[in-house]
Amino acid sequence: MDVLPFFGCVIPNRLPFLEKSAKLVFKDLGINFIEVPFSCCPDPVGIAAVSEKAWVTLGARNLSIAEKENKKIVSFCNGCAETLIGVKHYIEHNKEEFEEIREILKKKGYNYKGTAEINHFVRYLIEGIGIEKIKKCVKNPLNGLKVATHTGCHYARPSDWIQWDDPLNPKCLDELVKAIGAEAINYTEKTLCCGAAVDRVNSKIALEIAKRKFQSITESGAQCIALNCPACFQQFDNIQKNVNKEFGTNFQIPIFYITELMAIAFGHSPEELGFKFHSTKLKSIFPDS
Amino acid sequence: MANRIDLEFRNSVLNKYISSTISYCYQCSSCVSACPVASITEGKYNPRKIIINALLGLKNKIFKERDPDVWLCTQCCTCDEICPQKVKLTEIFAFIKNQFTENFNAPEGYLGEARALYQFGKTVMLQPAIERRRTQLGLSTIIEPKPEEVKYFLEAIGLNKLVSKEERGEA
Repeated sequence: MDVLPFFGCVIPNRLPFLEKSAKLVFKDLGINFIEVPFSCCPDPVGIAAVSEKAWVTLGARNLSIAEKENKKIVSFCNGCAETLIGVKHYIEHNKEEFEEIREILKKKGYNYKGTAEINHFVRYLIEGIGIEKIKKCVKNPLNGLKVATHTGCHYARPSDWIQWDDPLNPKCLDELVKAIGAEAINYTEKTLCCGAAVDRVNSKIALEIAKRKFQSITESGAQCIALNCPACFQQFDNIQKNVNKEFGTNFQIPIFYITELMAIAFGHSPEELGFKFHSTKLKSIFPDS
Repeated sequence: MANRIDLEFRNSVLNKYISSTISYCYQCSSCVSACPVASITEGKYNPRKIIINALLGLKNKIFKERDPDVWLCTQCCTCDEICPQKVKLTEIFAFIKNQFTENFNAPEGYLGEARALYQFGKTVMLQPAIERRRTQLGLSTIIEPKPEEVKYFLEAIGLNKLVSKEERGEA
Protein backbone atom coordinates (compact mmCIF):
# COMPACT_ATOMS: atom_id res chain seq x y z
CA MET A 1 0.00 0.00 0.00
CA ASP A 2 1.37 3.44 -0.98
CA VAL A 3 0.71 6.51 1.16
CA LEU A 4 2.09 10.07 1.28
CA PRO A 5 3.80 10.66 4.64
CA PHE A 6 3.50 14.23 5.94
CA PHE A 7 6.29 14.76 8.46
CA GLY A 8 5.97 18.55 8.69
CA CYS A 9 8.72 20.93 9.87
CA VAL A 10 9.57 19.72 13.37
CA ILE A 11 10.19 16.00 12.83
CA PRO A 12 12.66 16.09 9.89
CA ASN A 13 14.45 19.28 10.96
CA ARG A 14 14.66 18.74 14.69
CA LEU A 15 13.59 15.25 15.76
CA PRO A 16 14.81 12.97 12.95
CA PHE A 17 14.79 9.95 15.29
CA LEU A 18 10.99 10.13 15.30
CA GLU A 19 11.03 9.96 11.49
CA LYS A 20 13.31 6.93 11.76
CA SER A 21 10.92 5.09 14.08
CA ALA A 22 7.90 5.91 11.90
CA LYS A 23 9.67 4.70 8.77
CA LEU A 24 10.73 1.42 10.40
CA VAL A 25 7.28 0.68 11.82
CA PHE A 26 5.39 1.45 8.62
CA LYS A 27 7.84 -0.60 6.56
CA ASP A 28 7.35 -3.55 8.90
CA LEU A 29 3.61 -3.17 8.45
CA GLY A 30 3.97 -3.30 4.66
CA ILE A 31 3.23 0.37 3.96
CA ASN A 32 5.29 2.13 1.29
CA PHE A 33 6.04 5.83 1.72
CA ILE A 34 6.05 8.06 -1.37
CA GLU A 35 7.76 11.33 -0.37
CA VAL A 36 6.62 14.42 -2.26
CA PRO A 37 7.60 18.11 -1.83
CA PHE A 38 5.02 19.17 0.73
CA SER A 39 5.77 22.56 2.26
CA CYS A 40 5.19 23.60 5.86
CA CYS A 41 1.55 22.59 6.54
CA PRO A 42 1.43 25.57 7.88
CA ASP A 43 1.22 25.48 11.67
CA PRO A 44 -2.43 25.78 12.80
CA VAL A 45 -1.32 27.48 16.02
CA GLY A 46 1.41 29.89 14.92
CA ILE A 47 0.66 30.71 11.29
CA ALA A 48 -3.15 30.57 11.43
CA ALA A 49 -3.05 33.04 14.32
CA VAL A 50 -0.97 35.50 12.28
CA SER A 51 -2.68 35.05 8.91
CA GLU A 52 -5.58 32.77 8.09
CA LYS A 53 -4.97 33.51 4.42
CA ALA A 54 -1.39 32.20 4.57
CA TRP A 55 -2.68 29.12 6.37
CA VAL A 56 -5.30 28.39 3.70
CA THR A 57 -2.96 29.12 0.77
CA LEU A 58 -0.10 26.80 1.73
CA GLY A 59 -2.53 24.20 3.10
CA ALA A 60 -4.38 24.12 -0.24
CA ARG A 61 -1.07 23.85 -2.10
CA ASN A 62 -0.21 20.72 -0.09
CA LEU A 63 -3.67 19.24 -0.59
CA SER A 64 -3.38 19.81 -4.36
CA ILE A 65 -0.18 17.75 -4.44
CA ALA A 66 -1.92 14.84 -2.72
CA GLU A 67 -4.88 15.10 -5.11
CA LYS A 68 -2.55 14.83 -8.08
CA GLU A 69 -0.82 11.79 -6.58
CA ASN A 70 -4.25 10.34 -5.79
CA LYS A 71 -2.98 8.85 -2.52
CA LYS A 72 -3.87 9.31 1.10
CA ILE A 73 -1.86 11.70 3.28
CA VAL A 74 -0.69 10.15 6.54
CA SER A 75 0.35 12.93 8.92
CA PHE A 76 2.87 12.35 11.70
CA CYS A 77 2.06 15.58 13.49
CA ASN A 78 -1.18 16.66 15.17
CA GLY A 79 -0.77 20.21 13.88
CA CYS A 80 -0.19 19.19 10.26
CA ALA A 81 -3.17 16.81 10.37
CA GLU A 82 -5.36 19.53 11.86
CA THR A 83 -4.24 22.09 9.27
CA LEU A 84 -4.79 19.84 6.27
CA ILE A 85 -8.20 18.66 7.51
CA GLY A 86 -9.07 22.19 8.65
CA VAL A 87 -8.09 23.91 5.38
CA LYS A 88 -10.18 21.43 3.41
CA HIS A 89 -13.09 22.14 5.78
CA TYR A 90 -12.51 25.91 5.50
CA ILE A 91 -12.58 25.83 1.70
CA GLU A 92 -15.79 23.78 1.67
CA HIS A 93 -17.44 26.45 3.83
CA ASN A 94 -15.83 29.58 2.27
CA LYS A 95 -15.99 28.95 -1.45
CA GLU A 96 -16.15 32.62 -2.44
CA GLU A 97 -13.22 33.73 -0.27
CA PHE A 98 -11.15 30.85 -1.67
CA GLU A 99 -11.51 31.90 -5.32
CA GLU A 100 -8.73 34.52 -5.07
CA ILE A 101 -6.39 31.92 -3.51
CA ARG A 102 -7.36 29.33 -6.13
CA GLU A 103 -6.21 31.70 -8.88
CA ILE A 104 -2.90 32.37 -7.10
CA LEU A 105 -2.26 28.62 -6.79
CA LYS A 106 -3.07 28.06 -10.48
CA LYS A 107 -0.21 30.37 -11.46
CA LYS A 108 2.23 27.75 -10.19
CA GLY A 109 0.30 24.83 -11.62
CA TYR A 110 -1.73 23.77 -8.58
CA ASN A 111 -5.33 22.97 -9.30
CA TYR A 112 -7.25 22.53 -6.05
CA LYS A 113 -10.19 20.12 -6.28
CA GLY A 114 -11.05 19.27 -2.68
CA THR A 115 -10.65 15.50 -2.96
CA ALA A 116 -7.60 14.80 -0.79
CA GLU A 117 -7.90 12.31 2.06
CA ILE A 118 -5.99 13.01 5.25
CA ASN A 119 -5.39 10.68 8.20
CA HIS A 120 -3.49 11.29 11.40
CA PHE A 121 -1.10 8.33 11.57
CA VAL A 122 -2.81 6.92 14.69
CA ARG A 123 -6.05 6.79 12.73
CA TYR A 124 -4.27 5.14 9.81
CA LEU A 125 -2.71 2.53 12.10
CA ILE A 126 -6.11 1.66 13.58
CA GLU A 127 -8.38 1.98 10.53
CA GLY A 128 -6.02 1.48 7.60
CA ILE A 129 -3.86 -1.29 9.08
CA GLY A 130 -5.71 -2.67 12.08
CA ILE A 131 -4.78 -3.77 15.58
CA GLU A 132 -4.62 -7.47 14.61
CA LYS A 133 -1.97 -6.85 11.95
CA ILE A 134 0.02 -4.72 14.39
CA LYS A 135 -0.11 -7.50 17.00
CA LYS A 136 1.26 -9.96 14.43
CA CYS A 137 4.41 -7.82 14.02
CA VAL A 138 5.19 -7.84 17.75
CA LYS A 139 8.31 -9.91 18.47
CA ASN A 140 9.23 -8.34 21.76
CA PRO A 141 6.05 -7.45 23.71
CA LEU A 142 6.57 -4.65 26.24
CA ASN A 143 4.99 -6.68 29.02
CA GLY A 144 4.65 -4.87 32.31
CA LEU A 145 5.54 -1.42 30.97
CA LYS A 146 3.14 1.14 32.43
CA VAL A 147 2.46 3.89 29.89
CA ALA A 148 0.63 7.20 30.30
CA THR A 149 -0.69 8.25 26.90
CA HIS A 150 -0.95 11.88 25.80
CA THR A 151 -2.66 12.40 22.45
CA GLY A 152 -2.28 16.18 22.51
CA CYS A 153 -5.01 18.66 21.67
CA HIS A 154 -5.11 18.86 17.89
CA TYR A 155 -5.27 15.08 17.49
CA ALA A 156 -9.07 15.05 17.83
CA ARG A 157 -10.03 18.69 18.42
CA PRO A 158 -11.84 20.59 17.03
CA SER A 159 -14.00 17.48 16.64
CA ASP A 160 -16.39 18.95 14.07
CA TRP A 161 -13.50 19.15 11.58
CA ILE A 162 -11.54 16.10 12.57
CA GLN A 163 -14.28 13.62 13.46
CA TRP A 164 -12.05 10.96 14.89
CA ASP A 165 -11.76 9.32 18.34
CA ASP A 166 -13.29 10.97 21.43
CA PRO A 167 -12.15 14.62 21.69
CA LEU A 168 -12.43 14.69 25.48
CA ASN A 169 -11.62 11.06 26.29
CA PRO A 170 -9.42 9.67 23.50
CA LYS A 171 -8.95 5.90 23.42
CA CYS A 172 -7.11 4.89 20.24
CA LEU A 173 -3.57 5.64 21.43
CA ASP A 174 -4.26 3.41 24.45
CA GLU A 175 -5.29 0.67 22.00
CA LEU A 176 -1.89 0.90 20.29
CA VAL A 177 -0.09 0.74 23.65
CA LYS A 178 -2.06 -2.41 24.54
CA ALA A 179 -1.41 -3.95 21.11
CA ILE A 180 2.35 -3.98 21.81
CA GLY A 181 1.87 -5.65 25.19
CA ALA A 182 2.22 -2.60 27.46
CA GLU A 183 -0.31 -1.30 29.96
CA ALA A 184 -2.16 1.99 29.36
CA ILE A 185 -2.47 3.79 32.70
CA ASN A 186 -5.30 6.24 33.28
CA TYR A 187 -4.45 9.55 34.94
CA THR A 188 -6.37 12.65 35.98
CA GLU A 189 -4.75 15.15 33.58
CA LYS A 190 -4.86 12.90 30.52
CA THR A 191 -6.36 15.55 28.21
CA LEU A 192 -4.35 18.48 29.59
CA CYS A 193 -2.53 20.42 26.85
CA CYS A 194 1.30 20.28 26.60
CA GLY A 195 1.35 24.10 26.83
CA ALA A 196 3.56 24.74 23.78
CA ALA A 197 1.30 27.50 22.42
CA VAL A 198 1.19 29.59 25.59
CA ASP A 199 4.95 29.03 26.04
CA ARG A 200 5.50 31.41 23.08
CA VAL A 201 4.19 34.33 25.11
CA ASN A 202 4.30 33.26 28.77
CA SER A 203 6.77 30.60 29.89
CA LYS A 204 5.59 30.74 33.52
CA ILE A 205 2.12 29.44 32.60
CA ALA A 206 3.68 26.73 30.39
CA LEU A 207 5.83 25.57 33.33
CA GLU A 208 2.75 25.38 35.57
CA ILE A 209 0.85 23.35 32.97
CA ALA A 210 3.76 20.93 32.54
CA LYS A 211 4.18 20.53 36.31
CA ARG A 212 0.49 19.67 36.65
CA LYS A 213 0.79 17.10 33.87
CA PHE A 214 3.98 15.47 35.22
CA GLN A 215 2.58 15.40 38.77
CA SER A 216 -0.55 13.59 37.63
CA ILE A 217 1.45 11.06 35.59
CA THR A 218 3.85 10.39 38.47
CA GLU A 219 0.94 9.83 40.87
CA SER A 220 -0.66 7.36 38.43
CA GLY A 221 2.34 5.02 38.64
CA ALA A 222 3.10 5.26 34.91
CA GLN A 223 6.78 4.83 33.98
CA CYS A 224 6.77 6.87 30.78
CA ILE A 225 4.69 8.98 28.40
CA ALA A 226 3.71 7.83 24.91
CA LEU A 227 2.46 10.47 22.52
CA ASN A 228 1.72 11.12 18.86
CA CYS A 229 2.70 14.74 18.19
CA PRO A 230 6.21 16.18 17.71
CA ALA A 231 5.25 19.54 19.26
CA CYS A 232 4.13 17.82 22.48
CA PHE A 233 7.24 15.60 22.31
CA GLN A 234 9.55 18.63 22.16
CA GLN A 235 7.66 20.43 24.89
CA PHE A 236 7.69 17.53 27.38
CA ASP A 237 11.18 16.25 26.54
CA ASN A 238 12.76 19.69 26.96
CA ILE A 239 10.72 21.32 29.71
CA GLN A 240 11.28 18.77 32.51
CA LYS A 241 14.63 20.24 33.55
CA ASN A 242 13.10 23.73 33.65
CA VAL A 243 10.14 22.51 35.69
CA ASN A 244 12.55 20.86 38.15
CA LYS A 245 14.58 24.07 38.38
CA GLU A 246 11.51 26.27 38.90
CA PHE A 247 9.66 24.11 41.41
CA GLY A 248 12.43 22.00 43.00
CA THR A 249 10.84 18.81 41.65
CA ASN A 250 12.70 15.83 40.24
CA PHE A 251 10.72 14.71 37.20
CA GLN A 252 12.62 12.45 34.81
CA ILE A 253 9.78 10.87 32.89
CA PRO A 254 10.92 9.25 29.63
CA ILE A 255 9.01 10.56 26.61
CA PHE A 256 8.32 8.30 23.63
CA TYR A 257 6.68 8.84 20.32
CA ILE A 258 4.33 5.86 19.97
CA THR A 259 6.19 4.55 16.88
CA GLU A 260 9.38 4.38 18.97
CA LEU A 261 7.73 1.96 21.41
CA MET A 262 6.17 0.06 18.50
CA ALA A 263 9.57 -0.23 16.82
CA ILE A 264 11.07 -1.70 20.01
CA ALA A 265 8.17 -4.18 20.20
CA PHE A 266 8.75 -5.05 16.52
CA GLY A 267 12.34 -6.03 17.38
CA HIS A 268 14.38 -2.91 16.61
CA SER A 269 17.08 -1.72 19.01
CA PRO A 270 17.42 1.56 20.97
CA GLU A 271 20.66 2.15 19.07
CA GLU A 272 19.03 1.77 15.64
CA LEU A 273 16.29 4.18 16.76
CA GLY A 274 18.69 6.85 18.03
CA PHE A 275 17.33 6.85 21.60
CA LYS A 276 20.51 8.68 22.66
CA PHE A 277 19.10 11.82 21.04
CA HIS A 278 16.33 12.15 23.64
CA SER A 279 16.83 14.95 26.20
CA THR A 280 15.20 13.09 29.10
CA LYS A 281 17.17 9.91 29.60
CA LEU A 282 15.53 6.55 28.96
CA LYS A 283 17.78 4.30 31.07
CA SER A 284 15.01 3.60 33.61
CA ILE A 285 13.26 1.64 30.85
CA PHE A 286 15.97 0.73 28.34
CA PRO A 287 19.26 0.34 30.26
CA ASP A 288 21.34 0.13 27.07
CA SER A 289 19.96 3.34 25.53
CA MET B 1 -13.93 56.39 27.26
CA ALA B 2 -11.61 53.43 27.14
CA ASN B 3 -14.46 50.97 26.89
CA ARG B 4 -16.50 52.65 24.19
CA ILE B 5 -18.26 50.27 21.83
CA ASP B 6 -16.65 50.09 18.41
CA LEU B 7 -19.43 49.13 16.01
CA GLU B 8 -17.13 48.49 13.09
CA PHE B 9 -15.15 45.95 15.10
CA ARG B 10 -18.34 44.45 16.53
CA ASN B 11 -19.80 43.93 13.06
CA SER B 12 -16.59 42.50 11.70
CA VAL B 13 -16.73 39.83 14.40
CA LEU B 14 -20.42 39.15 13.91
CA ASN B 15 -20.18 39.04 10.12
CA LYS B 16 -17.29 36.65 9.94
CA TYR B 17 -19.11 33.46 8.94
CA ILE B 18 -17.89 31.20 11.67
CA SER B 19 -17.90 33.84 14.34
CA SER B 20 -21.64 34.26 13.96
CA THR B 21 -21.79 31.42 16.50
CA ILE B 22 -20.60 34.07 18.97
CA SER B 23 -24.14 35.43 19.26
CA TYR B 24 -25.28 32.17 20.87
CA CYS B 25 -23.02 32.73 23.89
CA TYR B 26 -25.07 33.13 27.08
CA GLN B 27 -22.02 33.63 29.32
CA CYS B 28 -22.42 30.37 31.26
CA SER B 29 -18.64 30.05 31.92
CA SER B 30 -18.39 26.38 30.88
CA CYS B 31 -15.39 27.48 28.78
CA VAL B 32 -13.71 28.99 31.83
CA SER B 33 -14.18 25.85 33.90
CA ALA B 34 -12.54 23.75 31.15
CA CYS B 35 -9.68 26.16 30.35
CA PRO B 36 -6.24 25.13 31.68
CA VAL B 37 -4.87 28.67 31.46
CA ALA B 38 -7.87 30.10 33.35
CA SER B 39 -7.23 27.51 36.05
CA ILE B 40 -3.51 28.26 36.32
CA THR B 41 -3.93 32.04 36.26
CA GLU B 42 -6.83 31.78 38.73
CA GLY B 43 -9.21 33.37 36.29
CA LYS B 44 -7.00 36.25 35.16
CA TYR B 45 -7.13 34.74 31.71
CA ASN B 46 -10.79 34.16 30.98
CA PRO B 47 -12.17 33.02 27.58
CA ARG B 48 -15.73 34.04 28.50
CA LYS B 49 -14.65 37.65 28.98
CA ILE B 50 -12.93 37.75 25.58
CA ILE B 51 -16.16 36.55 23.99
CA ILE B 52 -18.30 39.19 25.72
CA ASN B 53 -15.73 41.90 24.87
CA ALA B 54 -15.90 40.87 21.21
CA LEU B 55 -19.66 40.55 21.25
CA LEU B 56 -20.06 44.03 22.65
CA GLY B 57 -17.40 45.51 20.40
CA LEU B 58 -15.11 46.58 23.26
CA LYS B 59 -12.13 46.97 20.97
CA ASN B 60 -9.87 48.74 23.46
CA LYS B 61 -10.29 46.03 26.08
CA ILE B 62 -9.22 43.39 23.57
CA PHE B 63 -6.44 45.18 21.68
CA LYS B 64 -5.07 47.82 24.05
CA GLU B 65 -5.78 46.79 27.63
CA ARG B 66 -5.59 43.11 26.68
CA ASP B 67 -7.91 42.37 29.55
CA PRO B 68 -7.88 39.40 29.21
CA ASP B 69 -5.04 38.79 26.75
CA VAL B 70 -6.22 36.57 23.89
CA TRP B 71 -2.61 35.49 23.23
CA LEU B 72 -2.58 33.56 26.51
CA CYS B 73 -4.92 31.02 24.90
CA THR B 74 -2.92 27.79 24.56
CA GLN B 75 -5.21 26.68 21.72
CA CYS B 76 -6.17 23.36 23.25
CA CYS B 77 -9.71 23.77 21.85
CA THR B 78 -11.24 22.21 24.98
CA CYS B 79 -13.64 25.18 25.28
CA ASP B 80 -14.94 24.49 21.77
CA GLU B 81 -15.85 20.95 22.78
CA ILE B 82 -17.38 21.85 26.12
CA CYS B 83 -19.48 24.86 25.02
CA PRO B 84 -23.21 23.99 25.26
CA GLN B 85 -23.95 26.59 22.58
CA LYS B 86 -21.25 25.32 20.19
CA VAL B 87 -19.56 28.72 20.03
CA LYS B 88 -16.29 28.33 18.07
CA LEU B 89 -14.14 30.14 20.60
CA THR B 90 -10.75 29.16 19.16
CA GLU B 91 -11.75 30.30 15.67
CA ILE B 92 -13.05 33.60 17.02
CA PHE B 93 -9.77 34.08 18.90
CA ALA B 94 -7.84 33.35 15.67
CA PHE B 95 -9.87 36.06 13.93
CA ILE B 96 -9.00 38.51 16.72
CA LYS B 97 -5.31 37.51 16.56
CA ASN B 98 -5.28 38.10 12.79
CA GLN B 99 -6.46 41.64 13.51
CA PHE B 100 -3.56 42.10 15.93
CA THR B 101 -1.24 41.16 13.04
CA GLU B 102 -2.91 43.64 10.72
CA ASN B 103 -2.29 46.34 13.32
CA PHE B 104 1.36 45.20 13.69
CA ASN B 105 0.75 44.20 17.30
CA ALA B 106 1.11 40.42 17.26
CA PRO B 107 3.67 39.08 19.76
CA GLU B 108 7.16 38.30 18.51
CA GLY B 109 6.77 34.64 19.56
CA TYR B 110 4.19 34.30 16.80
CA LEU B 111 5.51 36.80 14.23
CA GLY B 112 8.96 35.21 14.26
CA GLU B 113 7.56 31.92 13.03
CA ALA B 114 5.64 33.60 10.20
CA ARG B 115 8.76 35.56 9.24
CA ALA B 116 10.81 32.35 9.08
CA LEU B 117 8.17 30.76 6.88
CA TYR B 118 8.30 33.74 4.54
CA GLN B 119 12.10 33.98 4.44
CA PHE B 120 13.10 30.31 4.38
CA GLY B 121 9.98 28.44 3.28
CA LYS B 122 9.69 26.55 6.56
CA THR B 123 9.31 27.29 10.24
CA VAL B 124 12.13 25.10 11.59
CA MET B 125 15.61 25.33 10.06
CA LEU B 126 17.81 22.28 9.58
CA GLN B 127 20.94 22.78 11.71
CA PRO B 128 24.25 21.02 10.87
CA ALA B 129 24.00 18.90 14.06
CA ILE B 130 20.59 17.57 13.01
CA GLU B 131 21.84 16.96 9.49
CA ARG B 132 24.58 14.76 10.98
CA ARG B 133 21.97 12.91 13.03
CA ARG B 134 19.94 12.26 9.89
CA THR B 135 23.03 10.73 8.28
CA GLN B 136 23.77 8.63 11.37
CA LEU B 137 20.20 7.35 11.33
CA GLY B 138 20.41 6.52 7.63
CA LEU B 139 17.65 8.97 6.69
CA SER B 140 17.40 10.40 3.18
CA THR B 141 17.56 14.09 2.30
CA ILE B 142 14.40 16.03 3.20
CA ILE B 143 12.07 16.39 0.22
CA GLU B 144 10.70 19.94 0.27
CA PRO B 145 9.79 22.76 -2.13
CA LYS B 146 12.20 25.53 -3.04
CA PRO B 147 11.87 28.47 -0.60
CA GLU B 148 11.20 30.77 -3.59
CA GLU B 149 7.96 28.96 -4.33
CA VAL B 150 6.67 29.39 -0.77
CA LYS B 151 7.79 33.03 -0.90
CA TYR B 152 5.88 33.55 -4.13
CA PHE B 153 2.61 32.44 -2.54
CA LEU B 154 3.13 34.40 0.67
CA GLU B 155 3.94 37.57 -1.27
CA ALA B 156 0.89 37.05 -3.47
CA ILE B 157 -1.35 37.15 -0.39
CA GLY B 158 0.64 39.98 1.24
CA LEU B 159 2.06 38.16 4.28
CA ASN B 160 5.46 39.83 3.75
CA LYS B 161 3.90 43.25 4.40
CA LEU B 162 2.52 42.04 7.71
CA VAL B 163 5.54 40.26 9.14
CA SER B 164 8.68 41.62 7.52
CA LYS B 165 10.41 44.36 9.50
CA GLU B 166 11.94 45.76 6.31
CA GLU B 167 8.60 46.06 4.56
CA ARG B 168 7.12 47.68 7.63
CA GLY B 169 9.93 50.22 7.64
CA GLU B 170 11.31 49.12 11.02
CA ALA B 171 14.62 47.70 9.86
